[in-house]
Amino acid sequence: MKKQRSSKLQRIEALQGFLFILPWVIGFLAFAAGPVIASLCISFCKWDILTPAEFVGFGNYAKMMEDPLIAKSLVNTLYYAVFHIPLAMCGALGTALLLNQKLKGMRVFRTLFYVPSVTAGVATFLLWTWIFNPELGLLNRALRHEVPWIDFANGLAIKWVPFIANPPKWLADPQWAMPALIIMALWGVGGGMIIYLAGLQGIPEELYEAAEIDGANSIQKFRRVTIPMLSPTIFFNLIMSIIGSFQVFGAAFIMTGGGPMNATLFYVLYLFQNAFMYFRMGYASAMAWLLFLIIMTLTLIQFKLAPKWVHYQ
Amino acid sequence: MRKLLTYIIILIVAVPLVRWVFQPKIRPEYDEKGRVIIEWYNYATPEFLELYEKYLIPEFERTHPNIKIRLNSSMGDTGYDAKLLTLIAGKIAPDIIHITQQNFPFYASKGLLMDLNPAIEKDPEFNIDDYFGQVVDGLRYQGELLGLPSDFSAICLVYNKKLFDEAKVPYPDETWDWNKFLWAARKLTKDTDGDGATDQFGFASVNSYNRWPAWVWANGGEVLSADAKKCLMDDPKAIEGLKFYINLSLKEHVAPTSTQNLGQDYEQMFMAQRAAMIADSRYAYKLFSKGLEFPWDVAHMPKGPAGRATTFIWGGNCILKSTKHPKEAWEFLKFVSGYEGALLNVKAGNAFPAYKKVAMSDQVLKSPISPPSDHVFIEAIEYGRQAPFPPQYTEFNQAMRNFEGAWLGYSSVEDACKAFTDAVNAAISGEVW
Repeated sequence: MKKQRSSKLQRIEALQGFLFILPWVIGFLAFAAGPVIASLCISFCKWDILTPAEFVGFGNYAKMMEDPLIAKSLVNTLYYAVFHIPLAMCGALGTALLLNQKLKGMRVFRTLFYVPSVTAGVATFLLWTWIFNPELGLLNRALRHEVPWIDFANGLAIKWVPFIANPPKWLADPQWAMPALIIMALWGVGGGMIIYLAGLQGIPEELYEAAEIDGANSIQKFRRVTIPMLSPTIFFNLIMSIIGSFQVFGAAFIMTGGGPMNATLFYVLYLFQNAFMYFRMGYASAMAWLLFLIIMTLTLIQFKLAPKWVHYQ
Repeated sequence: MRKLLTYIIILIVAVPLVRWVFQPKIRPEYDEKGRVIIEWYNYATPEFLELYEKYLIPEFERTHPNIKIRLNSSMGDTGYDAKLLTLIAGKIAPDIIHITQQNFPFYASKGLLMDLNPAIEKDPEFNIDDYFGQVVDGLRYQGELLGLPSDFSAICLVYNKKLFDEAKVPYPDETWDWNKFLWAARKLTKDTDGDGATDQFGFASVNSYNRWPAWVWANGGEVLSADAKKCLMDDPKAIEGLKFYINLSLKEHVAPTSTQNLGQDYEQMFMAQRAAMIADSRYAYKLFSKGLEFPWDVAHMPKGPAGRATTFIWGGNCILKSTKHPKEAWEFLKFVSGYEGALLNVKAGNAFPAYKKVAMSDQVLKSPISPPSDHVFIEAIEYGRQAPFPPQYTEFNQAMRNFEGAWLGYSSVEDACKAFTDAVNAAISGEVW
C-alpha cells in the first residue's frame, strides 16, 4: 500500500492536538525535564547559588567516593529498606486477607486501617515524636505498665512488676532510632492493603472451588491459588515499596534531623542538607543522580526477574 | 469561521505569555516620582512591619525626599535564607539586608557584603564610636567592616527569685564562680512530687554556638586562634570548659538532657518554673513581659577559672555588593542603625540598641519591662566577646555536629572536641569544597 502524504485535514488535526497538549508539555519541560537535565549539568560543577558555577568534571562524584557520610547514609537507607519492605508487604497482605472476608463491619475496619496512610504529613510525624518520647510517650508508658508476676521470694504471691522496666529511648538512642522509624512506617500499611484487597477480589471463586475439590487445605490454597493470582499486584507493590523506601525523607527531617549521631541520616536527607544547608548544589545533584542509578538498577533487576514468578492472566 | 476564532484566541493567549516569559526581570530602580528605590530585606514579622511602615520609613522618606524604601520580608526566621538566596539567584537582590550573628558568617564568607570603611571615611557626620565597639567588632571580617549593628545583647544569668527563696539559696552576685554556681544549681534541683523524675532543674542549658564558647573562654581556652587559621578546641583548657557545661546535664544532672526537657525549650522551662536559672539575653524581656508569675532578676554569668566571659548576640544591617545605589543605601543604613532606628528598637522592646546614646538612656535602662538589675547587661559589655568563625563557615558549621554525641553522652567530650578540631583544621587548610 502506498503511504499517503497526510492530507491538509490530517495536518491541521495533528496541529490542534499538539496545541491542546502544549500547556502540559510546557509545564513538563519547564518543571520536570528541564530541571532534570539542569541537575545533570550542575552535578559536573561546583555551585553555591551566590557565586558563579565552576566546572569540575567528575570531581563531585570522586568526592562522594571518599565521603564517609555517603556510605553511612546509604547503609541507613538500606537498613530501613531491608526491614521495611518485607514487613510492610506482609503486613499489607495479611490485613488484606483478614479484611477480605464477608463479615459484618468489614468496611469500618478497612477504613480504619486506611486512614493513617491518608493522614500522612508533618502532623503525624509530630504525633509519633510524642508517642516515642522516652519519659512520657504512649509507647514507653505502655511498656512500663505493671503486669502480674509471681514473687518467688515471697511464697509465690502475686506481685506487680513493670512489663519492661527500662524501655529503649527510641528517637534519642542511636540503636533504636531506626527501628522506631520502621515501626512508625508500618502504620501506613493501609495503602498497600487497599491494592491487595482489589487484587484479592479479582481472583475468581472457581479456582478456589477447584482447589478444594482436589483436596487442598488452606495453606495450599494460599500458596497455589492466591499468591500466583496476586503476583502482578505483589510485583507492583514491591517496585513501589523499593522506590519509596529509598526516598524516605520527611520522617527523619521532622523527627530526628538525621538522628542521634547520624543514625537516621537517610540518603535523601543528606542530599537535602548538602543542597539547602551547606549550599553545595553540584554535590547534591551528583548525589541525586547516584540515587537515580541505584533505584533504576534495582527496578530493572526486578523487571528481569519478573517473568519467573509473575503470572499475568 | 471556527478556524479563524481558534487562531485569534491562540494569539490573544500566546502573545502576552511570550512577552512575559522573555521580559527581563529587573527590579525597578526609580519609582514614578523619580526617587531611588532601595529595597530592605528583613525578618520582620507583621508587628515589626507595622512599626517600620508607620514610624521608620515615613520619617526617613521625609528627611530624604529622593529615596524611597521598599520593604521585603521573610516574615520570621525560617525561610529567610532560602528567600534571600532565591532573590539573589534571580538577579533581583535587595540592597540592604538585615542579618544576625547567626547568619552573618555565611554571607560574609561568600563575599556578598559591601565594605563600609570607604563610606565611613568619606562621610563627615558619621562616627563609628557612637556604637559599642565590641558589638561592631562582630561585623568586622578580614579587615573590612561589613555592616552596622542595630541591636544586641550579651548573655547573662536570669534567675527565678521565688525558687531561690524556697531553696534558701542566696541570689547570684559578683562573687559567684563555677563552684558556687554548681552548688546553687544542685540545691535548686528537686524532685517535687517524689516520682523519681526531676521536676525542677537548677539550670537549663542551650546547645548553641552563641552560648557554649563562653564556658570555653571562662576556662581560659579558645575556639579559634586570633587569625582564624587554627582551631584550638583540642587544648585541655578548652575541653575542660566545654566539659563543665555539658556535664551540667549529663553528670551533675542539674540541667535537663534533651529528653528530660519534655519538649520545652530553655525559656519555656524557665517560664514554667521548671528551671531556676537560664543564661539568656535581653531579647527575652519581650517574652517575659507577657507575664511571669514570679519575681525574677538578672545577674552576671559566674566567674570561670580564667575570669568572666560571655557571648553577644546581635542583629544588624548590611549593604549587598550588588547594589546599584550604594550612596543611598548608606544613607538608609546610617538611619536604621542610628538614632531613629535605635528609638524604634526601644519602642519595639527589642533588646539593646547598638547606638550608645540611646542605649544608655533611661528609656532603655528603666523601661517598664526591665528587672531590677538591668544594668548588669551594660556591665557585661565589658567582658563580652563575639563567637569567632573562619572563612570556611559551612564546613565549620558542619563540624559542630561532632558535638552531638558528647551532648547525648555517647562519646566523650575529649573525642568530640578532637573530631571537631580535626574537621575544622582540615577545612581551613584544605580546599573549601
